[in-house]
Amino acid sequence: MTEYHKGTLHPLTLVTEEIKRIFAQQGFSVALGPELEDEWHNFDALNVPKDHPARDMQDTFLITDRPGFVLRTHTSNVQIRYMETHQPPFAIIVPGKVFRNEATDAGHEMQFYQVEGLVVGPSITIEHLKGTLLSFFKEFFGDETEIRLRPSFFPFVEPGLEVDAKFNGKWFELCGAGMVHPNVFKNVGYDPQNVTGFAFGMGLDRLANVKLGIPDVRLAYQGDLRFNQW
Amino acid sequence: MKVSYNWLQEYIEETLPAPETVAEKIIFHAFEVESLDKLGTGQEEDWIFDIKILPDRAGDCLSHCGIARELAGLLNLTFKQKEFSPLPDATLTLPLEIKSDLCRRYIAVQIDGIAVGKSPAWLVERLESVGQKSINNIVDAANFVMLDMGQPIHVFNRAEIDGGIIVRDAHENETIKLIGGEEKTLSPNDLVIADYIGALAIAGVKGGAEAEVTTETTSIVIEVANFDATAVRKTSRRLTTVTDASKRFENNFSPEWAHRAAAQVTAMILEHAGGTVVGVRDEYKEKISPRTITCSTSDIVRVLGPTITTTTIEEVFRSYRYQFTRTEDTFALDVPFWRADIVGAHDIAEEIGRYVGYDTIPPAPLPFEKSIEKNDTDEKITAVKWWCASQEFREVCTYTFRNSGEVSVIAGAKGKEKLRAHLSDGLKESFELNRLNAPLLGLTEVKLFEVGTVFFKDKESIYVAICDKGTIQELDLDEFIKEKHIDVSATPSFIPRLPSSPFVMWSLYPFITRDLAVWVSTPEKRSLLENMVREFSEKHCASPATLFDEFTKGDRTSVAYRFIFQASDRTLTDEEVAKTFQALLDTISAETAFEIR
Repeated sequence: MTEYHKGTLHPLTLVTEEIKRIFAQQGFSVALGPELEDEWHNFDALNVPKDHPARDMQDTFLITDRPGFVLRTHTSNVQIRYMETHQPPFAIIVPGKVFRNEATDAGHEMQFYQVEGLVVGPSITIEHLKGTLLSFFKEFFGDETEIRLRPSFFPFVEPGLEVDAKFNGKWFELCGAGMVHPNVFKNVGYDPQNVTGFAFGMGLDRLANVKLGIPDVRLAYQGDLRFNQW
Repeated sequence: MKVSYNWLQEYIEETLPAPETVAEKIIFHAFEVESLDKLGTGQEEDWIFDIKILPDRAGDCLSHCGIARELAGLLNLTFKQKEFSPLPDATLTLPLEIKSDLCRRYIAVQIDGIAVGKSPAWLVERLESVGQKSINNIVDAANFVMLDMGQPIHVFNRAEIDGGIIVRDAHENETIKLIGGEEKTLSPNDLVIADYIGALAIAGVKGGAEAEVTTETTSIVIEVANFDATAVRKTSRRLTTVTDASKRFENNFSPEWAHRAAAQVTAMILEHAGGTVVGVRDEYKEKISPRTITCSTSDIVRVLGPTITTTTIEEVFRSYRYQFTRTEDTFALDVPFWRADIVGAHDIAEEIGRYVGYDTIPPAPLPFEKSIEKNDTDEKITAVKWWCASQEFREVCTYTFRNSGEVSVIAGAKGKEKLRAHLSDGLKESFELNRLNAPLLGLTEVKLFEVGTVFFKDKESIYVAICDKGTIQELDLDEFIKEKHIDVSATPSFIPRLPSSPFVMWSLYPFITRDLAVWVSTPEKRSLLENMVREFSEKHCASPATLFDEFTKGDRTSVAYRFIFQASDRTLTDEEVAKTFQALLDTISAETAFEIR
């Protein structure tokens, strides 16, 4: 039974804190950034071409009377902002709210939370990506957790990967990842000959829902205290 | 895309492994396979994969030929190309004029004396196996070639082409009635295939009803063309007409394939519908130039790690039958013309990684010193949340989208077009909701808080709002910290551990409350009563009974409890609750020491 004599935190806060704690053990700092973003940081710098389908207003919230601005569709904008102001090596995670203009249902919401990660250094390979995510999922879901990597595609990485984690005997597609595309490095003024890096992104709501068995992503945003069960 | 196992086999010299093995290979080395279904039995047996082709490979893999080529590479099998008789050397007398650079290639083949009719059974079956309806022997041949090798093809009824063919920009507000009857209004950004009177087809998207092949058609012009990817995408999105053809063109299908496709579709039509080729013309101005990419083993190792060797890379290139030369650890790869997506060493790393499989890559910890850089904003937010929770506030998260605010989004949901300029409205609604549910939550007063971004005309800020018994106070994050004297640096790092107990969905039906006040005379009696109350509420109530009132008069104490009744599957009736509650009253009354008030 829930104890009602003290305050409670929203489950997404609990999950965010847990994720921050786990990544801090691996040396990741937290970076934050704006939710309303210019198209350079949300798309162009990330190697998403001008005519890419994701940029259509069916998927992205464009801002009235502010051409060139959008509600960020991922927290990758902060990766760009961080690289513009920092030099490698570094490891960061970026938790935050993101927005997609899509029909809502139990699995989709117009606003949700993501946590993205970015590691850049002189000798970062896909082995480090795998090691980092394996450690994370083992700590988050339990030591028996396995992960598997499948080919995927995102404009800002190459190779691009989909990472599944096995929890309670079932595989869940939980994370997009990959090695940072050289064009992204060029766009922030890094020399792709000198650095490599990996990036990943996961839906925080989805992680929470899988871990805690929450059936509907929309429950988190109703302002309903029955959601704060811990 | 639906892909037939038997169809793939036609492109592979050796016998393919079992369908499940093929699916597994595709999933872990190429694309997502969404389903694998068995079709028919015995001799007729086939398996259909539903494959989600990744966007960067949609240019070469949206076809059986493309998937088979990839599979042959992954499994080190021999890919065999189909052979067709070349197109006859006959000059097309029908005038053909290309007036736009967005048309990358245009092959027109005119066949006279055809008989439109049914397709042979094998063709009908093959098309149906991948979800394509058979129409007639002409359209089926065109669809087959598209599914077979990826080239979209359109066929015009020659009798309906007035004068000649012009590939041109549409006129402002030019209209076209498409096959199927839908009418579209075009703009000069759209490319059309027209005759001297008007538009006959939207280039790369869909054909018009005007020159559609009918059962009476005896002469046809086959169009095997290629159009600019971006232009096709824009037109098809704007007209909301996404077709099998537009999907292929917008993903940069190579114009190099057109000649082969024209030979294939012509051969099929001649075989199934008869007729004679009376004219062929191929307009292909800018041929795709061959490209060579140089990369070294170290270029690949710096991405995929040291398990990859020069030998691995060579093995992968050989398995895909790529043309390359190697000088020590440096490779010069002739990029196949259909792989427009390969532009640099990073793309070659993807080829290698995909082939060897990411399961073979060992995990490694980060190779540098762990030093955490503090993030001021994040620490402030955490400190504020922790302070609020310690002051018995409960955190909620409400919507950013509202019906009022200074900034709005384009094409947002009705009543949710604005971005919140404060948290108070959302918090007020949350308070009303939770106030009504207070008995259910076991709360006598509802205290809420939210930390979130709000949007002003020229900036966004992080705000904190607290709601205490309906009174809301909202401040900017820094002001809040100042006002409440929260010492951010002194805050113990509040890192709550995530619970392992699962979420319990609440009932969507109304609840009913019942109160009970009882006189008790001794502590022993009181604890006896408390046990009864607890046992009853655990068994019959939606949440634990709460003690909401208590006073002492003389040697007796009055204690008052509130019980919440709610079903997860229906609305409870007063009678039901009364009956359940009576059972508790009876139990208590039976105990002579208690007097129900």
